[in-house]
Amino acid sequence: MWRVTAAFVTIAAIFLLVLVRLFYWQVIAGSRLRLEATSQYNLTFTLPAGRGAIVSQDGSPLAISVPAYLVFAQPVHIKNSAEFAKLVAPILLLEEKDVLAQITQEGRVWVPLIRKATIETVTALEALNLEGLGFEPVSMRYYPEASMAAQLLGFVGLDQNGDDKGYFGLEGFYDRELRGKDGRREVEKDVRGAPILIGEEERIPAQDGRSLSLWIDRALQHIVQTRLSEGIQKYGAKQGSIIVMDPQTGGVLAMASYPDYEPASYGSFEKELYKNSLVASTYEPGSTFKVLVMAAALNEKAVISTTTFDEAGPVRVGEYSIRTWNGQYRGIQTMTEVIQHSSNVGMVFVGNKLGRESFLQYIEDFGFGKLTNVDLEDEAAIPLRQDSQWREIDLATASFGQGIAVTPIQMAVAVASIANGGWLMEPHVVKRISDTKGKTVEMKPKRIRRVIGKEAAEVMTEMMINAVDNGEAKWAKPKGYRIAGKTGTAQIPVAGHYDETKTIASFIGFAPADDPQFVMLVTLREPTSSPWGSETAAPLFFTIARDIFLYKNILPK
Amino acid sequence: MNRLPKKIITIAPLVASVLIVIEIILTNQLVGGGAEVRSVDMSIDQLRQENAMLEQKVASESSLLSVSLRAATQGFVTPTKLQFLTIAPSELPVALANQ
Repeated sequence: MWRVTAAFVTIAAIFLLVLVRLFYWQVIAGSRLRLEATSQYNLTFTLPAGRGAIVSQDGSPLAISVPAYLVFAQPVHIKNSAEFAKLVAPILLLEEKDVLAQITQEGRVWVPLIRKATIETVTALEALNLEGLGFEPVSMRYYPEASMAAQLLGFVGLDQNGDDKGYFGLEGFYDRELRGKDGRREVEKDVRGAPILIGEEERIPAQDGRSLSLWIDRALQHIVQTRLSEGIQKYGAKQGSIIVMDPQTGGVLAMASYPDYEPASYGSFEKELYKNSLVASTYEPGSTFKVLVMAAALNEKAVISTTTFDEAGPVRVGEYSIRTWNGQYRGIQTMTEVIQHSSNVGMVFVGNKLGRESFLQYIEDFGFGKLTNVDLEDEAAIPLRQDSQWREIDLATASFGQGIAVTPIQMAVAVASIANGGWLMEPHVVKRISDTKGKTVEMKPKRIRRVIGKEAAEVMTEMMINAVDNGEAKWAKPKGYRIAGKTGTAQIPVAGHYDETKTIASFIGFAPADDPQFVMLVTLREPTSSPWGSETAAPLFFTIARDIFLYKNILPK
Repeated sequence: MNRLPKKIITIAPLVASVLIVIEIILTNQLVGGGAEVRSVDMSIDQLRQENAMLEQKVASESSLLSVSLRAATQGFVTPTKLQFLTIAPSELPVALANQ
């Protein structure tokens, strides 16, 4: 009997063991084994989605995706690690000891050596015929114009998962539209790794990213960038920026900042350069702001162009005394002359005529204190102080553009409203977005609000033309053209006071004044040849304007 | 009546055998064709890559950066002074005035 019992127990134990093992295979190790089995008979390809292109107004590429490779090492297949590192490192421009350290690190089966290798690099590596060295196709961003419009374009870097991600500028703002979606193809394979024709196949096609067509005019951008670079050298400025906009549509035709960087090798530049100062940095606009205060006063009929006031001397505002920029006082002055001579004292008169409530309302209506909603990453706007916090002296200084912080794009948009007859436009860099199937979305020009009437805009334009023709910068103006503009020289606030020696020189204007094709703002930070806008930013503005007239075939009258 | 089924009984297995052999040959050929598919796929990838490289080359060669450099090396310069001629219609040469 005991034999039967022993046989029964033995068989039961064996069954139990089989059950335990089956449980392990089916439940515990099931998913891993399924994966291993799949990898044995299935071949999976990732179908990488191409990142959309960014092209200028004439269709020329500013950013495209080109093929590249992820170069990796598989330490288990490497026969001689030292020899491997010695051969591979110089081609990849890496340190030999770093490569060796990575491939000899314990437990590593797959080591990425370089993520974006060019085809030339891979060809050189393939010639080595090394075991344990592999390549995986990826795509790489290529910027044919190198640093042109760098801060506007942004760049493509990696996110925390090692995937491509756009940062800053258009690459950052439109990352979701540009990046697309990777596809996948899974086929059954034979013992040699070739796909089996009669086997099963699963295919999810890649969806390429959408392409952006910009308002940016490539030739104009080139002109602006070249001239800015020359201007920085000529006037010994620390930084500079220029924006050119179409006042009728709000389309950004050119945008350049100096110093800049190369998006393709962004890692080798200071991070401070990544931000587009035209949308992300604020400055005190100085006298260029006067045209907006005057336009508001004209619109409210608080003054007309021939209204006079007596510029007898400095004006007292509370405990402060406000002087003219050059200490000269010209007696009876019309409003046209106030703008022509850029009189601070005159602007305090205009501010008072306009009145506190209207003044603050117009500042807001011109778009200050809020984002312009330009389609670029990192736009900043310093909110305006509460109405109750504006002291008399704040209103007085703001009337001539000091004590108020604005971004260059806010200034350009505000002055564009004078150029287009009174409409505040939403600025845009992208004109249209199109996908690979041909579907196109047009970004229509958007009017935000009417800020001033047509009549006030026309009178203000004439006052600005007079300021150019008879003002401090008349010597630099191209002959035969009607250009509306205004110089600005703002001191830089440092730790609660204004630095006596450092200025931001600027010039804002539009041309041809009777049918404005562009509005342009030029700012130069801390020019050393002269602190004045009329001797630095204004001549630079006119040089660029001359180039634009020639390029756009705008003839003098 | 009895002869026909006998013939069928004799021929049918032969036909079946031939069909089976054909199917085996065709399947074998199809399975072997996988290598060809792989090679076609590789050619497609290669051509796609070459196309992208050419696109890159075109973009690079037609960039304003290289165009301006080439223009400078060939002696083109930016005009320093522009002069415009304004001619009244009455002063135009006869050939142009009549147009």
